[in-house]
Amino acid sequence: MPAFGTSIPRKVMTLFLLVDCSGSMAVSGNIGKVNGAIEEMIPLLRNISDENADAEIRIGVLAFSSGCRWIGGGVQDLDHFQWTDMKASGLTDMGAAFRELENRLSRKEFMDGAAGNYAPVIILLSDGEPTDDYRSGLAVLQHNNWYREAQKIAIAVDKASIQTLSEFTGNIETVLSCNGQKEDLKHLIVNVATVSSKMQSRSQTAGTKVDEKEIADQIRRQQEDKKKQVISELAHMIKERGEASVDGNTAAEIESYLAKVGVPSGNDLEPTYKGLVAHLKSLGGSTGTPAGGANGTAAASASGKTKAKVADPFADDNDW
Amino acid sequence: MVKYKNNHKFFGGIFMAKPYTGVSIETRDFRKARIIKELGSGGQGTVYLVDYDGKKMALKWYHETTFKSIEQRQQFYDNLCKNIDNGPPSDDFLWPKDITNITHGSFGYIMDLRPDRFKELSVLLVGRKARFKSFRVTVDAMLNLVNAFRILHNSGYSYQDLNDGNFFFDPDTGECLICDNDNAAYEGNVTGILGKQRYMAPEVVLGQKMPDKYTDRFSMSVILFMMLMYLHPLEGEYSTPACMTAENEREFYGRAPIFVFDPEDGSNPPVKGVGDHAAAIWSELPEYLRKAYIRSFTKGSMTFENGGYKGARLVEREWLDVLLRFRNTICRCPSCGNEEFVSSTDAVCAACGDELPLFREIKLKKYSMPVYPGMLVRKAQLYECPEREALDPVFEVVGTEGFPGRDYIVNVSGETWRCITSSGAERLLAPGERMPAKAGIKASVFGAEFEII
Ligand SMILES: Nc1ncnc2c1ncn2[C@@H]1O[C@H](COP(=O)(O)OP(=O)(O)OP(=O)(O)O)[C@@H](O)[C@H]1O
Ligand SMILES: [Zn+2]
Repeated sequence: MPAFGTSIPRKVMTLFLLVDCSGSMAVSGNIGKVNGAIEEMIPLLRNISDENADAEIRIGVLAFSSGCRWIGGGVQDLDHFQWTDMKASGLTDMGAAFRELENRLSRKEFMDGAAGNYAPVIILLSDGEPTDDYRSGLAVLQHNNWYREAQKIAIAVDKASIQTLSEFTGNIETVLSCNGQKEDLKHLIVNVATVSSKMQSRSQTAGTKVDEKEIADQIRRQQEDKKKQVISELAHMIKERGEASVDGNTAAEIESYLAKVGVPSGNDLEPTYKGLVAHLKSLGGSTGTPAGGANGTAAASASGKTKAKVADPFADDNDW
Repeated sequence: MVKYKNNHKFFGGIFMAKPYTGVSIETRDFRKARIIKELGSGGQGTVYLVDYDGKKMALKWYHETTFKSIEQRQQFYDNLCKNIDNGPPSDDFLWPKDITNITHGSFGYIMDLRPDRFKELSVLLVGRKARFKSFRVTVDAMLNLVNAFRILHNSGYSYQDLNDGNFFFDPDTGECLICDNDNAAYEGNVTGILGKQRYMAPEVVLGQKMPDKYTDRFSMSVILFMMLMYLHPLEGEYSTPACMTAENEREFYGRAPIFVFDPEDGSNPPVKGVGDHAAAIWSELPEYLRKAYIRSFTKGSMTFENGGYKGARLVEREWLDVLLRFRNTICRCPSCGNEEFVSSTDAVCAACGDELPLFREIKLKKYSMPVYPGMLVRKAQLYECPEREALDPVFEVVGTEGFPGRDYIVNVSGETWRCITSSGAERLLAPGERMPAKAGIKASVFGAEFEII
């Protein structure tokens, strides 16, 4: 018998991240958030991949500024992922990135899963206008069948043009925008990468194609849910602790406060709560009093190497 | 003084799209489930750890968007209520126990927590976080699965969404736990769920039929193949395009599926370097098991025309026969630990070359099998017993340390056996007692007879 204990062959689903590393990404500090996001998504993706019998997830990060290059040399598997932080400086050669990606989206290049592939996910992140002729690069890419089948999502950071990025995704609804100063860019990237990879690396129901809109919608919904949940919890805290009062619609107050400071990404609401209380007090609401916190089948081992052809091992057992 | 004007807005209005820590939700049975924390979130809903009447349980809360319409939601809800009222078909099912009222656009159901020792089948197939201990445990797991589905189907249900994400097993013992029972429905009722591609029957992929008992059986045979062979039965050279698209899936799992070991159509053999292991196992499988797989994936069984199938899929009882027999041919080499599928006492370990210490066979009504320590014969292997007792043990074989061939048959049936010794004398064997595996001994229990030869 062949030895027991292999693992099932799986298709490959590659997640491509095309990251704008132009000078402005350094000035805003956004590049640090992107680096952080990639480091943090790796263990999450590995976990998704290790529980998925349909496909293994791989990742390729293409940084573009003046020219472009693959971090770690190309597409990598998640066990041997080599990472060095991307540095931002220079121009926004998005067209160069499109051409490079087109060259690699081929069975002979990066799409070489032995048991086949699912169409990739391609996430494009940028904070400004391309400085090269991105349209001609995009035109080349648009002829590539992998690109056509891919789930394409863009993240428009700060002042990036949603219009330009939607030319890449082919759809304005799959461009998610993010204000790096107020919103949690790192969390958004991790979320987009994990949700899209999870959805795209599974065989689907009854020939329905997962589409990018669904992925983008799910991410928007998650963020909306998260916000609602934070609002509810903060309202609950206000009620329990009685440290502030609200005259109008508490939810609306909290919501407008969160619009200023951003929705916290972690589970610890204390800092946000403190800020909120200070904010509500500054609005002139009456000050409340603190309410005070909150098988045993192992065979008999054979002594000899070959079985002794014992005539009858029960020769002495005459009762049976 | 603290004023709360629109208080109800937070706790009864749009801001409770999703339950959160601390909130209590009332159930249909007028009990309360208090959310302790979120356990995880999936495509259909979010699962929470809850305090339910002082007991820690799980609450699956559906995303509002899971339902396409109010009618579909109501249909789903009513079906779940019915399942709860009926109770679980057997202990193998992590069955819904209670359900919340419909509130804030959605609802959830209460179930037991799944013990950690149970691992999702997909995780076991990938084999990186956990894997089955051995072939024998795998076959025990397959038996438990088939047995559970036999009971489910014979209770009038179909499951409708068999896939690698819904079955959990203890990889050390093979015990199974069938989760996500929200789709289970009485035969004839549909819940609107079609299932997961790769596991759906071709006629469901093609939209010729909604899921039912027969389509469940197809999905089950796919799973029974994958668990043992570590390959999908329909994924070979022909069906492995560079890029698997939705249209491709429809073709290879729906319109024109071809079994990788189809004896009449060799156009879809396992991909070299990908399915070699499966091909090696296939060549070692006993004929009756190969036949069962061939029958499951023959073109006839995968063709639904004019309201009927061209070939008959195996029913659970047939799978039990095949797997109970196969289970007792998996013998571990005492020298090196390798497992062999043995059909006679003349067997050599392929790993170390040692002859296996097999001396006797047990002859049942239809076939005989070599005796070796670790063998376990269950009721359904000997006679037509009540469904729920199918996997109850009748006897097991234990060896003697340092004495190959000195094997004993232990009566674990709870009944006294009537035996005839090798010298022809009558003798009884009480429950818990053992007898040597000595040629010529005959025994009968539950109306079935067997003999050591
Ligand atoms: N009864 C339970 N006890 C403990 N954990 C559970 C239980 N049911 C579900 N979970 C956990 O909750 C999470 C969500 O489960 P759920 O079944 O909704 O989603 P899923 O299987 O991840 O996704 P999908 O519905 O898309 O297949 C999972 O991580 C699962 O392990
Ligand atoms: Zn051996």
